[in-house]
Amino acid sequence: MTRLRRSGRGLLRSLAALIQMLLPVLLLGTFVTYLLGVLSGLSPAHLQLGESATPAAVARLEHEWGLDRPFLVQYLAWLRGLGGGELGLSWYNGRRVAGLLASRAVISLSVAGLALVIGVGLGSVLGTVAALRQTSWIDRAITAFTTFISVMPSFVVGIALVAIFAVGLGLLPSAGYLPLEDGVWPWLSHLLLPALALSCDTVADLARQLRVGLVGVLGENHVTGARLRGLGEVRIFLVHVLPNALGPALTVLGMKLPHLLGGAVVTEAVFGLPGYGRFANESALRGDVPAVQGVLVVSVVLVVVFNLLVNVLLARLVPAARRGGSP
Amino acid sequence: MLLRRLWRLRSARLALGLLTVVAALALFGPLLEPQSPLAGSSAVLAHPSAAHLLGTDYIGRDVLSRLLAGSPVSVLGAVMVALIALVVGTIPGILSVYLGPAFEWITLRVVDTLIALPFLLFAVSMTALIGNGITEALVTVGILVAPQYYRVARAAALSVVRSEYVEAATIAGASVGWIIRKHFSAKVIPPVAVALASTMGNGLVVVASLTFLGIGVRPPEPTWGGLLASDLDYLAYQPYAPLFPTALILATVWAFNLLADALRDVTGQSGRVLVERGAERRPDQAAAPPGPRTAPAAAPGGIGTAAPDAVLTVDALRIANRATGEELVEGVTFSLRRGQVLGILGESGSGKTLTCKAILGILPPGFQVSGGGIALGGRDIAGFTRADWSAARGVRVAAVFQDPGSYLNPSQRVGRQVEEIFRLKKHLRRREARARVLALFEALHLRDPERVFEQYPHELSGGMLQRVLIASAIALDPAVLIADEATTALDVTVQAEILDLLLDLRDRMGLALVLVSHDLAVVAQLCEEVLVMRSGQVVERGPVSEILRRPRHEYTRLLVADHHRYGLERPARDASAPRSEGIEHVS
Amino acid sequence: MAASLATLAAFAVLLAPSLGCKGRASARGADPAAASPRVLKWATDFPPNWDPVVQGSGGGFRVLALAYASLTEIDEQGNARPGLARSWDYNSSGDEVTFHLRPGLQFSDGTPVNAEAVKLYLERAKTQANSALDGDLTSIASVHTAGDLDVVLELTQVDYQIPLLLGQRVAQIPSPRAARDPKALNAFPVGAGPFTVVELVPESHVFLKKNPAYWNAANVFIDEVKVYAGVDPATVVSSIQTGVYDFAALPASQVKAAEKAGLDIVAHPGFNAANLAINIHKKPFDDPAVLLAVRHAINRQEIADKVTLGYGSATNQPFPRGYIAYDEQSENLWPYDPAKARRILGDAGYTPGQIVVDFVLSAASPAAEVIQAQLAAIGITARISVAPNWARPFFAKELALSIYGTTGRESPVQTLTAHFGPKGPLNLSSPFVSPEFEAAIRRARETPLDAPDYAQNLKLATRAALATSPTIFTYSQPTLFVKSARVSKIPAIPGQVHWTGVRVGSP
Repeated sequence: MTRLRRSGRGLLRSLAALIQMLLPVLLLGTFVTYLLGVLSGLSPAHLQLGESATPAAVARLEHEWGLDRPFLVQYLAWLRGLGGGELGLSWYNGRRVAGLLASRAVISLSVAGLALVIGVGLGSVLGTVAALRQTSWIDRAITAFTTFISVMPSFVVGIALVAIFAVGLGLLPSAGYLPLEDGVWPWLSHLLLPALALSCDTVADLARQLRVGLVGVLGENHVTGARLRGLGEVRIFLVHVLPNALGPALTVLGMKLPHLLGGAVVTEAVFGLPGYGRFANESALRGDVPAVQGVLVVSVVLVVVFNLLVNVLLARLVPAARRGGSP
Repeated sequence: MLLRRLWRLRSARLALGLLTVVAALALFGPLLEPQSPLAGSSAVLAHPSAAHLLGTDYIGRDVLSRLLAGSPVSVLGAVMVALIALVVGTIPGILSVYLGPAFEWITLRVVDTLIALPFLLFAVSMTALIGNGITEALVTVGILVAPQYYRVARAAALSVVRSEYVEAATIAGASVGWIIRKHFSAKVIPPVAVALASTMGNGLVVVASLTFLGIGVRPPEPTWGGLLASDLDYLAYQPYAPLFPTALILATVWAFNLLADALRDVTGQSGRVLVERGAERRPDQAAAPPGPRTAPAAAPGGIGTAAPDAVLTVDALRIANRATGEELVEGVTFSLRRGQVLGILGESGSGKTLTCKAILGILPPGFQVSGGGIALGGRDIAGFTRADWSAARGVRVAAVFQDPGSYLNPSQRVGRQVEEIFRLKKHLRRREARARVLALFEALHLRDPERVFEQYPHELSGGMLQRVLIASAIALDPAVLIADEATTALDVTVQAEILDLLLDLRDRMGLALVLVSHDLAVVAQLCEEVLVMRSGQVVERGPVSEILRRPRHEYTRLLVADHHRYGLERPARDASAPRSEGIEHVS
Repeated sequence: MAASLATLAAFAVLLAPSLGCKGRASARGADPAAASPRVLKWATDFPPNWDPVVQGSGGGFRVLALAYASLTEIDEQGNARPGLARSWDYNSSGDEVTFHLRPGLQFSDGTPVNAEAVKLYLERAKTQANSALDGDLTSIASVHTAGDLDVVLELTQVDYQIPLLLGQRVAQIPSPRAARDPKALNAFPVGAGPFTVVELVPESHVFLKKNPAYWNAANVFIDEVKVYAGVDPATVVSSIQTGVYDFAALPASQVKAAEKAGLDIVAHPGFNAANLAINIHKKPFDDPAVLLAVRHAINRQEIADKVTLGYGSATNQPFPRGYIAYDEQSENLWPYDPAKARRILGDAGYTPGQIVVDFVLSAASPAAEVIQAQLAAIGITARISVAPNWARPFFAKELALSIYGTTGRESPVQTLTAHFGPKGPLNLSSPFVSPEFEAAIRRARETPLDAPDYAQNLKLATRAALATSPTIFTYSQPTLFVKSARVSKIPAIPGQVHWTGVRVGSP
């Protein structure tokens, strides 16, 4: 009973500390994003007026959009909107950016989520096997493999996957997206190849970090201690080795989400996914500033939330880290 | 210095070689082009031929020339990213240590923000906001990658500031410049160098990705990423085409990463890692060991007739290094009955610990039993499978070692770890197991067992930890307990307590003890019989009183004499012996 | 333990509906009489605007044509055919035309398709601030209704092109009630077309279902259309092959891949042509010598070969050879002669490399690279840059050099005025126009479509235009589409994608 209460309090404390750290990040991130948008000097005129862009018309349009107000006024208004979940209106088609992003975010997050699952799953397996078969040929093969895929740009992997699995073997579709309502397998089959392409970096890093962590822990005395107490190898691995070895892997994982979100920009271009990476790309090409700002803010929020979760997880699994021990 | 050490690694040589080639391409590539990379021809999308070694592209331009012409942009772009990140990151990183908490807090928050931004996304967005040039995109990426350098530089600077060398040097009056040159560079440059190498690799991939998306591409100037993009459009005509830019990109990035790894190896754990690795590799590389150099008296795996009531029998045990065949334990024999206390006396390197490890089945990977045999409770351990060991450990034989805390999982409470034994091996429910653990703690004189149960290893003293460990060792009522230097790191009073405890256990449970120590006092206090080991051999054995009063072997005599010389008590039974005897022996 | 079971249970509950959905679908499939919907999946460029007045004649009109019906249609020869209007007549002097609408039609929001709706539309197209069509409707002075189904157009001049003009690109008629809020209409179409919109996510997809009230619904054999925002050229073929889409535009570079994959390639006719747009009001083209040199520097055949990979042909006119307005006499106006080009520049006092011009594009283009090389060969450095907001400066006539391509127009006169007229949106050098052209085009406009000299008058107008227009036309290529075998033949109506008569097989 007391244990639960104690751990609950500890959790709240760490959460509070993390929020205190991450809130400035959020503010700074949104500020910089908005500032850059304003500094860019772009305006909706070029997107909306086209042929009839006389200076008077441009001025009128900018006034309509509130772009002639002082910077801080604009920023605060935008921030207030952010609080209510509003990301402004797109200059390209006047729609709510939040709405445009919502459906696309689902797609991108599905791919990123699946990539994370594959990355963690495959990476853990590879890292574990490599650590358990340290210095054997399996270990070296796995290391070579992970080095190779960590170096491959995701779009190259993507094209290769399409060539082999979609066009060559015809097992999976090469492009497009089907929503979950159309069935689990159709939905999954469209996400598998892009997720695989996107996951390469995560697989490699996780395998490497887990191997390092495991090798470190496996050599420690407390593993011998557990063995001496007569515990089975599987139990020792799962309960005593793995949790202590996860530190470096979890830290690396925290940095993966930004990478996955960024990588979406290219993978979505290759696989024709209407996700928000492609949206960002197209909006950027069009100079649709509110849309670009919206995308950036959403990514910052996503990354911050994800880091929060990872840190909490880290604290739960590795009490030493929680107490400020060495990471 | 660094470079010399680096050069010794084969991987580093390979990496540097590759990078030299790439650098040459970047600098002189345009001069090597067989044709102008801009000149089209009517042979559009032609396959490789004598005239065009890698074929032509969609306008008839020579692909090889375009690849070469694209090298400077791609490679220098990557270098630019790395250098920008280096400058933007390292300087604030170092300054954050010196300029006070406000600066530190601000820079840390900025760094956290930058890390939160997915950089491809940000770079693409930047092109909308500040222009579609490759320079702008690269500067953006450089800034976003800077946090890595910030952290590395800051960590290094922190370690320098707090190091004793610098304090000492400052006290000694060394100039700031000298300190910087000598210590600072030594601590800061290596990790930054590692970061630089890996960032350049990443930078190249980023440049390729950006140019693939069309950012910063100024037709008709070729870039590796841009070439890839157009290769994909015309894949049906030239399915092999993406291979060329991909190979170049991969080779370059791989070289950078190889270099980074080599630098890490050389600077991280220094030579130690390399030596160990070499030692570990040799067992693998050697074929099945031809057998120990010194012929064994008995074939390995055989144990002679074990005494019927012996809980542990060791018969002519020999342990050898797997690869070299060198024998480190040459023929140890003893037998242990219930309640018997055996001592093994010897310095480090005598083979006593290896012997114990062999009995427990935890010999390090490089060693194996090369002769003789071991029997636990009558069963020969030679053919033990993992399941057999699992069943035997804790039940037939248990052990406690020096540094007890390290044998416990640092992230779990100690009570839970002992409880685990009861739950898994005796299948008790949690409540029952907990009660058993508390009883054990009580029996081992741990004050406030409930409190101890909830504590983590790092919260307990050495003495308490050793008790906890003993508790875990005897939980399942083993026949034999091996205590290898169990009291060595403890206070003298605590030492005495623990030893008393062990004797108590022997009296109450009939536990057979093997006490391994270099300390004569420990052995003398508890043991009935003693084995003296030196350089892998048993030089003397017999009852304790005999050994101490009338040591036969020279080595034993030395040990006993040393013991007396430092003013330690002779064993009580020996109080009548004249003192001069010991002193004579010393000379 | 309990927690993990609970999670598993939750998962199962969440997944069950989707699995169930799949089950239902297959149950449906087992019973064909229960009509599994015939669905067409089309991947194409997504129109940013759904109000025809704002969208204008740009390529997006094809997608709008799913939701809207136009006043007239054209047939495979390019002649005007009834659409919403079942017939029309001109007055004797040719400056007034009356369209007679079909009775009993409705928009998808229930408002009737009547003369008032058409009148309101045309007026809005002429007057709305962001209208992309006002330049095309200069011939129309005013519109009034004569009864519920008759629309009378009073023209500013004799103009027999009107029935051709008021086709899919210019006269897709939306509901007048919806048009009261043009912004909303621009976000969601309300028309009387073959399909009605069920779901629309901008830049992502739009799903439509068959509209039984469409005037030609009897010939529509598709139940659902799913339009997806464009797909990467490198993956078009694999998308069709793996059934993600059924129909998409095919870049010339992917034809070989499509052939290898055994897909149907449709070379759809169209009166389109690509051009190199030159602005003679900007340096360096304000010097006639430079313009002349550039005319001789362009090797159309090379561009056609390298860009269309054999599927297109060179042309120096805004349409391909064989088009009614194509003037054979003007074929070799300025033949390819780089040596002559270099001489002209040299005589005018330019050194090679001295002339530098910004070549602004909307997207990366092999054609532009070929042209860049051809200009470099005569000593002109063209700096290519891809501009995110290319459209604004292009239509505002701010660029000096660019490239453009049209998908043609139903009315040849509209094509000619768009490219060569003083207010032509595709005339980068506007308001430049030659008086000879103005006279010739008026003559063509005043020629009834069935008159014997109609074709000749068109050619004369083309001839007059080409003699002075700085726009250099380069090549023409039929629009290439790729489709899966499920989709039957598409009617070969030039420049348009019609779905009437098209059948879609089961997946």
